[in-house]
Amino acid sequence: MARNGLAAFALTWVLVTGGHGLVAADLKYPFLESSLNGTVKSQKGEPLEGILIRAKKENTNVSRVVVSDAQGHYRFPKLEPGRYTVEIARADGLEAGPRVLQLQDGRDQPVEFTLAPAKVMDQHMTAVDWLRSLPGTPEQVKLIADNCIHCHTGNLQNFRFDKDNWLKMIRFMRTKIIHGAEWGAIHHEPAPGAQPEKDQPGWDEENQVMADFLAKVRGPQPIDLSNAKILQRPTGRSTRMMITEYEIPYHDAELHDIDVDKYGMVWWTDWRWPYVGMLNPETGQMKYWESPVPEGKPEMHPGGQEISFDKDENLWTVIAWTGGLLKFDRKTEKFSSYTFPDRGPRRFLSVGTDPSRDRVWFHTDNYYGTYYSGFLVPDKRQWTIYEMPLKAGKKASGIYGDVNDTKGNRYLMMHRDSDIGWINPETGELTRYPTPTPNAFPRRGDYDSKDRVWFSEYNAGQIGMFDPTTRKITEYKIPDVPMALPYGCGVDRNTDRVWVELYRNDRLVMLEPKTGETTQYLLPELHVMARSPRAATASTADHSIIYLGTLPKFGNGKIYKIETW
Amino acid sequence: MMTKSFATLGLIGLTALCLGLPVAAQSQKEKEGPALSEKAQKGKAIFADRCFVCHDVDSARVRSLGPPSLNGLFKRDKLVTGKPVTPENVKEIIKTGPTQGMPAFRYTLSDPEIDLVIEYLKVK
Repeated sequence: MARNGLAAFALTWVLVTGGHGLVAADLKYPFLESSLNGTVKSQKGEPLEGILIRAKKENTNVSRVVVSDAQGHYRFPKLEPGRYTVEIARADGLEAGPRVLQLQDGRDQPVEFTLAPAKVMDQHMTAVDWLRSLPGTPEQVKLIADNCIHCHTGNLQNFRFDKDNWLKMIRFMRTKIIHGAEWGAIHHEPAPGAQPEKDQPGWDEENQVMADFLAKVRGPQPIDLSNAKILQRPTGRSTRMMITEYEIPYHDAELHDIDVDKYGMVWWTDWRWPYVGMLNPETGQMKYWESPVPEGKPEMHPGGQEISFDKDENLWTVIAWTGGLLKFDRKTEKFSSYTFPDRGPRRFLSVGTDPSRDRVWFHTDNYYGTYYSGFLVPDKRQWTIYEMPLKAGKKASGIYGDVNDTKGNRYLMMHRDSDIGWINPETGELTRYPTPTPNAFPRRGDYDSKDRVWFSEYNAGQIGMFDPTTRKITEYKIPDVPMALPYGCGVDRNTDRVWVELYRNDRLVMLEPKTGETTQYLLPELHVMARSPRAATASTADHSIIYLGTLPKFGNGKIYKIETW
Repeated sequence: MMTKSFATLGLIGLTALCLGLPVAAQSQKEKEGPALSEKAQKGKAIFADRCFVCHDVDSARVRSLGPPSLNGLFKRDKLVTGKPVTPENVKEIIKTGPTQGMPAFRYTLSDPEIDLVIEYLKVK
């Protein structure tokens, strides 16, 4: 393959510190000292439990969020002196205005909040609350839920069009979209013989039904949502949480994945921009680097996705939309690109390393339904791929958030077929294990300290676990959250607790495998598309520390550090 | 539990030329444009939430979905409608969505919000 000259690219870094240094000594939970605290009440004077309150110091990219307890009390750790905005971060169905105050050293500052019903209710509801509160038939609600509110929640709640213009938007999105419910990141000429969705029978009839319904519920005039069904806030243990929010230091960041290396550094990839970034949680410093334009084929769109670390703790990610693998050397701060050796564009979404065999696993598809799993041996520059036998049926993604365990086994989330696929690392043989719940849609997974594979069952609102010893799958229901859409499991291998984010509810769930008990935590914003729960190296049973990235359509991407006890 | 075993299907071993060439890096800070006015800052925030998804403004590598880039809009002679580039004509396009792809934003954005977006577009 011809090799062009190196494309020039820039190493871009921004040092962003959290204020002028975090007050680390006072961040021991549950806060020996506090400089900001108060009470949250309803208009009737009743204490409100489970409300999230944010404090953000002026001219910083770091903010803190804490939760009110059963008495309505909230308490921040001792914060640096300075000018702060203190606001209600999350109180579904309710609202109160923010406060701006000057925190001074040595003085305790009380701030009281009284919450009233939200005036514009659809701006204070999760996508689930909104869907459950809509007038219309279950079929109508399901049509827009299934077509419009999978990945990017909140979009419909933030736009109003009449029928003709909803039809315009729907036709545009459903033509440009290649897979899933994305916003049309990629569009290209169909492969020969490919059947675009817009040519399928009934496509525009379906568009008309959706446009009709959306023009009623998100048309020129708002509908009455004063009796909206709002999910109950988690209480009790769910209020023992503090979140530190780190805003990404470039605009319109869309963090697809994060991961934590063995040194405790938090890395991110971006779905839109060609950036790999790193947060040092101890200092709040954030850096990011621009990856080069891939060689060998035209770049479809920059952006990465999953992250994995090799034996030298170098970061590997994917060249997601053009097709290939990308390595970032942490010592030299240089990228190495491995473009997949064919001409057409490919998606590469999953990556996992097997250091013992010097393999970097991936899966890839050609955008129109032919999937491969495979691995690269970087030093030999050798690609090995296995074509995936998938069942016939409606076009959809075939495999997604696959998992490598410590022994180099590769587990595939064969979500359309609802199987967990195991590739034997020695023979390349594929064995399938169907989920007990049909059509559960295993989406993304992770492994625990016993090499058990935990995965989200996206359609079933459950967490599944494949035990390599028994070769059986056990399922755990996530209770009390309709339309949950659990996206991706992350395991804290210090405790083997399993964490999964719920898309439409903007919640994080923790499963304790020893008891099967789950705890839910509210995330500090709506419609954030949080993903990739990953544990800090210092996480313990008494003090869990989990990181999440966000991929919002409203506001900028962030990394959340979520501490619970 | 039912299992199915498959022989390795379509095993293909490919050897690629070395494309894993380390690429040297240069330190460079993110370019910061001139400071925006308060109104343009607010307009930028609205643009990021409502317009950016289709009208990419800044990047050479992030390809447009088809709608025109709005970089340098107010330096052009004409809009896609053929009318001169004036705040009033830009506002008309945003509100009424006269082209095949652009929807009418008159129910999504208020007049003051559209004015703020235009303040931002004037400096991009």
